[in-house]
Order: sequence, then C-alpha cells, then structure tokens
Amino acid sequence: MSELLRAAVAVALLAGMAPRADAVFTYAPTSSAAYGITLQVGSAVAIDEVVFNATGTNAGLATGTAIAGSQPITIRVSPARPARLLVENRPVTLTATVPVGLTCTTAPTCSATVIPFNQISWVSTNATNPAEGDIQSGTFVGGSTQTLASFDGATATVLLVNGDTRFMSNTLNFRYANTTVYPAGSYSGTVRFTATML
Amino acid sequence: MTTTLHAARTTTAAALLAGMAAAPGPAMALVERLDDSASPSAQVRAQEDNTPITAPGPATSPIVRIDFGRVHYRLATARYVGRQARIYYVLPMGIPGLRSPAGLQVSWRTNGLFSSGSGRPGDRVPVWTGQVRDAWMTEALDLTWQVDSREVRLSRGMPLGFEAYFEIETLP
Repeated sequence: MSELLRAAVAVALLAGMAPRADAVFTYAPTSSAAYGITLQVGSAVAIDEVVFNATGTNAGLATGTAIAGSQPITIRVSPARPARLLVENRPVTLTATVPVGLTCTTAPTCSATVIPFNQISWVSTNATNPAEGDIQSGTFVGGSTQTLASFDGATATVLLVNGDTRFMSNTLNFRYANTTVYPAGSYSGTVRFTATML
Repeated sequence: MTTTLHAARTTTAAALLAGMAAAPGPAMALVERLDDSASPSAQVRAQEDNTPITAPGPATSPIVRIDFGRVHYRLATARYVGRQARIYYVLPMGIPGLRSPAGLQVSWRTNGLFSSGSGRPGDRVPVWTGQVRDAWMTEALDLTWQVDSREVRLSRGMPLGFEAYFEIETLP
C-alpha cells in the first residue's frame, strides 16, 4: 500500500467512514386503502329464516316454555381501515330495525293478528364484554331501532395492516316466549340489521 | 524553537497516520460500524395490532405503541477477537416522516448478551463492554417503539422506518 493510500485509509477511519454494512431495517407500514365496513347476518347469499314451531304439545297451550328457533344466526361486523400512524376514533354501531310485531300470513285463520316482537329473545354466544362490541343476550323491542352493539373500530392505537383485525362476531340463538295464546296460523316479521362506522 | 516544534508535530501526525493505517492496531481506540448483514432478516415489519377492542371513547392518547417482537442480530466481530471493546446501539438521527427525535422512543429488551435500554433518534447507547471472544456475536432484541403521532408526517402509503445499527469501539 502506498503511503498516500495508507494515509487516505487512515483519514477515512478517523472520520468514521468504515465500509457500510447492510443493516436491519425496522418499519411500520402504512397504506392508502379505503375505510369500509362489512356486515354479514347469517348466510352470505340469502335472507335467513328462523322458524318457531308452536305445534303439537306447544300448540295453543302458551305454556311459557320457550320454543327454540330453527337455526342460530351468526352476525359479524368487520370494519376495514387503512394502515396508518394516526390516532383516531371510529365508532362502529350495530342496530336492529324491529317491526312492531309478526304479522299473520294465513288470513283465514289468524286474520290481522300481530304477535309482538318482544316475544322473541336471544342468547348470544361468546358475548364476553359489551365494551368490546359483543352482542349481549336480549329481547327485541318491537317498533324500534335497537342498538345491539357498539365498539371502536380504531381505538387509540395504530393499525398496521389493512383489513378487519378488529371485527366482532356473535352467534344468536333465538327463542319464542310462548306465553300468550294466539290464533293458529303462520306469522312472519323481518328484522333488518345495520352496521355503521363513523 | 518554533521551527523545531512544528517539525515535532509533523512527526507525531505521521506516526498517527501510520498507526491508523494498520488498523485495527493494538494501541488505538477505533469506532467502526459492525457488519450485521448476516442477521436472519434484513427487514422487520411491525406486528399487527392486537390490542383489545374497546368501547368508543372521546379521549385518545397521541402516543401509539408499536411492537416488533424479537429482532435478531448477528454481528461480525472476527476482526476484533481478543480486543477490549465497547458496543453501541445507534439510532439514526434523520428518520423520514418524523418531525423531531422527541416523536419516537425506541426501547429494547435483550436476551442475555447486551444491555436493555431505550433511546431516541440520534442516540448512541452503550450496550456491551468486554473482551471480544468470538467471531460472531448474536443477540435478539424485543423491540418496541412509542411514537407521538403529533410528530409524524407521513404521506399515505409511506412507512415509518429506519436502520438502527451497532458500532464497536475497540479500546487501547
């Protein structure tokens, strides 16, 4: 090594200019994805029916022994938001629009009789904590818009990946109270669920 | 007298350069960046957000915590075997998207070899002192950031990231 080159190396070392090594890069990604929310009630492709059969020993007795619905319904709310380093609140609310009652669909037998919707209640599975957005067990309130769950889709922390990492999901097992005698027939009513994220 | 002194200084400087050229020489304290290119992962992404879902609330803290889990380093120390040395964890000063060093605190818990600690961008934190005995030093840092979101100015899609690294100072 020539004296000149040796001096240059020495000066470079003095200046802390050692050859650069590849370092470990740590990073928190963000994205420009859009906000959104997905609600699924029961099956993804149809309006699900829950049937209560008050027949046989249940018919006309109004025993007060609740009748289980024909199938459980799983309700899932999945908020999506972009990955970003920004503290924010994104309140998510799930409501049910409940008619006054179930109306008679077999007019010759039950005419215009209405069974109040508060005759139908549900037991929610995995309803650990209402503050975490779980639907608690409850009863429909006829003729109302009923709040079933609310939670923060963002919270005071950071979301580092896109997607529905903060979803809620509960399975509801419905039952009909069967405490009042109604005219024989079929009755029907539709509850509509709505999820919002502000 | 003046001339003699000048000549003596020149001689000293020449000796210094000669010593540095043989680096890492036995009598000089040198600082070099350690090669960590043999580390298992060249890029480590922050972990997903696993904090519990909570009820909506009006009060939110501007401080966000970001966990990385365990970040593994494998440092090439063969050149320094037998030398007394001090190793520093260096956090770079200029981090794109971060307005000031006050906006980020980096904390790490180590797993036996280096010291745990914390620092901010621009800090050079000593984590190990001793005699280098092996050609490789491996350590795993449980890494956490605390970011003041008020100090972050990222364009959408831009990550917040940086390369922290290790420096070794060989002691005379």
